Amino acid sequence: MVMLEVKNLSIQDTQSNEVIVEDISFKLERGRSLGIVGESGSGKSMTVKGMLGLIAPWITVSGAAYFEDADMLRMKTKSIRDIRARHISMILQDAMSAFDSLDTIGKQMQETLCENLIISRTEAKQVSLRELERVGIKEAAQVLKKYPHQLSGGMLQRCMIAIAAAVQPDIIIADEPTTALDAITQKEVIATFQHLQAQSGTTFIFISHDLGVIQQLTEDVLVMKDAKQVEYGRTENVFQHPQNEYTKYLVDTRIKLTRAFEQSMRKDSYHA
Amino acid sequence: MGGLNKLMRDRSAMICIIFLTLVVLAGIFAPWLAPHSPIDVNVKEKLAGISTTYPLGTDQLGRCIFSRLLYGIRTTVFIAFITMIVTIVIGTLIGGIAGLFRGKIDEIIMRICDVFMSFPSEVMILAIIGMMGPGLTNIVIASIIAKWAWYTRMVRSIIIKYADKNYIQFARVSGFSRWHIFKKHIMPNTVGEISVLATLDAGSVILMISALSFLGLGVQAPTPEWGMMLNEAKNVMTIYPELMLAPGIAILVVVAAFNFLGDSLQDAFNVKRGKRGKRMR
Amino acid sequence: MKRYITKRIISIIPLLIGISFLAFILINLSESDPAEVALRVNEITPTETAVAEMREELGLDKPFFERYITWVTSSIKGDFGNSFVNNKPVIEEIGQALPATLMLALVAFVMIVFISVSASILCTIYEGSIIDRTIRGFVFIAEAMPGYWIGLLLIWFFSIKLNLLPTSGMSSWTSVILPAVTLAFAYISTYVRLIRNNMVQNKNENFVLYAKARGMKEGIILKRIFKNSLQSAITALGMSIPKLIAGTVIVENIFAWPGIGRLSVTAIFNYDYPVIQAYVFLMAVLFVICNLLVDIVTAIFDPRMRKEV
Ligand SMILES: Nc1ncnc2c1ncn2[C@@H]1O[C@H](COP(=O)(O)OP(=O)(O)OP(=O)(O)O)[C@@H](O)[C@H]1O
Ligand SMILES: [Mg+2]
Repeated sequence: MVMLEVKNLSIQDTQSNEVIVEDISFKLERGRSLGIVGESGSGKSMTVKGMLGLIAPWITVSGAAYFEDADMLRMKTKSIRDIRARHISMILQDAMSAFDSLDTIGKQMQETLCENLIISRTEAKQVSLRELERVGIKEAAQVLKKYPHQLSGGMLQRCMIAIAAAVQPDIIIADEPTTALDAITQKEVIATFQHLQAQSGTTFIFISHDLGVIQQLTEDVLVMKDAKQVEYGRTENVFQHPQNEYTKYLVDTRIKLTRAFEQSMRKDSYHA
Repeated sequence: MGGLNKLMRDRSAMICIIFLTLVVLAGIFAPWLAPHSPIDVNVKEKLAGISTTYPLGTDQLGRCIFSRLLYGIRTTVFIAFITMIVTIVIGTLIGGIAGLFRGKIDEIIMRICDVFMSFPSEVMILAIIGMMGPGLTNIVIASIIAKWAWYTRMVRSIIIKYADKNYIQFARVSGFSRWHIFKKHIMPNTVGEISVLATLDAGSVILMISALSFLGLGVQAPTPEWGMMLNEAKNVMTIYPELMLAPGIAILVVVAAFNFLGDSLQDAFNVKRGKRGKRMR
Repeated sequence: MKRYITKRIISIIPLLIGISFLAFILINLSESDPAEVALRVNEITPTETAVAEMREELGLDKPFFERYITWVTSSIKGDFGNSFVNNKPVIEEIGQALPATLMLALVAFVMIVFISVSASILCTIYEGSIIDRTIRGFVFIAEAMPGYWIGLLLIWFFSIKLNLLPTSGMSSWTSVILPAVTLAFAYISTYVRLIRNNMVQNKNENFVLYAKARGMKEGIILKRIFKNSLQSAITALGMSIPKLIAGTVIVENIFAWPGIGRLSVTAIFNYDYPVIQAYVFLMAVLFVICNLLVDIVTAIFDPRMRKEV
């Protein structure tokens, strides 16, 4: 079943007339996670943000992005708000600036859960604690009382993951979800993702530089370069028989470097 | 230069430039353009309406308002210019010393600027005029003392910004070439940014000078000055309120033109304005 | 927090010394001899002996630095000497005029806060719409208008034409309306610009995008934007208090408002140096104290500042 279908999505900055994303199309079926890879600045983050309308007013998005047959690009503010978080949750790339610095993490988590799960504050707090522990935060009660500047980037990233998971959406978009994490935490978080995929049936869109992570977690992959999509298909196919020069280069360098590490990762996560 | 092209294409900014040029020319050629003397009293013709002899009518002493307005450019606008030029020269010299030599001198200059800037400029100006007495020269001096510190700061930070950009070249070469880099890179950029800041500031200087004259602290009668004309209009407000219009509108339009132009320049050349924040329109 | 405040208070001491020194130098700029002026305004012929006596009485024969110390210590005690004009203690004159000025500034301040904050919020919600553009157009024109001209136009319209409000003086509570509006006018435009631009900028910050991604309602997001802009608004508005009080000079003169602004301008015309000195000193101290309070309020408000303690 196709949950999300993006057709000819293009994004332009009207201030500088720069084309940020050009003609991207992909489908997301339930249970088949998608990876988006590409070099820095190729437009990965903007593609997903543009789809959800999380952009500045001077940036225009054209094309279509259907979520269960409704085009999110042409929706009223209220309808798209109902889809965000509840159906499609997003973990932003820049964790350090994602939270409101004037309020505690607990308060911001709580308001999200109350809004989307329609539960009381005490319940929200319990859910927060549970979810934070699930992403490997031991002293969860302490973390809830902290202000964003008192936590590390990796901590904040895990808080975002916890929020996304707590809402139990159909789709979680994770933009570089493991960049600020150390190797051990990275493993834990990836295990959490796998758990969500298996247990809750959540479908993911992963944006990552780490081809190893993509290979591990996704069924399909989309490769972007200079705002365009250069390859799209089943992850194994794309990585084993890259058609495009750029993908070939990407796979060659990455696979060589990470093969050993990747294998050890895989063993571990099977045990987990 | 991209900025210049951008400015040329900005129609409203060009209109401002043309308008302000015309105002300046009108001030320079006031003796030839003015139909009457700006100070000759003619009580028989007092408070006359608009006519061909008096394009904007006359005031309570029968003086031609249009002529007074034209001559007023020489006081209100030109004195603001003089104030700004002197302030900028002082700011550039001291700020230049601080920015180029750095170290101890820089430290001392900046502390002095701190003290001057921690005084509200209105109070500083009143204090200076209070001590030196009312008068045109004194308000100019007072305004310069009140403003030099801000310009010094700005010049210093601009110079440091560009010196850092050219740092490597700057360090490698010596003597003559160093001077060459200063002349070639740092100076033109500094001059450019400072002129943008000056344009943004011109309106407020005009407002300040006319306000002091309105209070009777600046230009003394019968010299025509826009703020003073408003003060005189105040006295006959009950019987002839129209007298308030011409000088008020003159100030409004000239200040608005400067502000608008300043914003366009700032956009075109991408200049930061420090703490004050951008004006909007 | 306590340490931050203490540190902040200690850090203004050098500034205070600098300012008082500057004020003292400004005061000594005068071209004419204060002793002579003091004699003249009291209609005593300034003979050489009389001037010398007066100099001694005013302490002008002492060395510069000693005079500075005497001046500072007596100023702190509130002793600014006697007015040259009527020989009354300056502190009494100021004490009589100050409440009127404070009342005017307070009413104007309330207007400024109320109008600039609500206009900024309107502009932010309806960014780019006709409301936003109208407010911005108004701000642009208001910034180029001389404040005293606005005052005159208001008097003409409300007092002369409609005969609704008194033209000048401080006869009834309605007297404060026109001067306060005039005073507030110039500042409102500045603060609308400042707060609006800040809020509109915050609108595209990452934390707002994420709040949207978390499915939060517009109202909650707006509240967060507002809270984040509040800090710069508080700083700006806090700094406007001394500026407002300094700005009363023109307004008080138009409306014959019996405050310290009018007092000081009259003093300037009469060469009444002790009054001018006291005015300058008080304004400078007020400015520094407001600065300090704003910093402390900001620190209480922003958790990031608290950490730096
Ligand atoms: N708010 C914005 N306004 C204008 N341009 C933007 C904005 N955000 C991003 N861009 C531009 O869009 C392009 C793509 O950015 P994007 O963040 O999508 O890259 P990315 O592929 O996610 O890179 P990275 O791997 O570094 O996260 C960049 O060239 C960037 O300059
Ligand atoms: Mg990105």
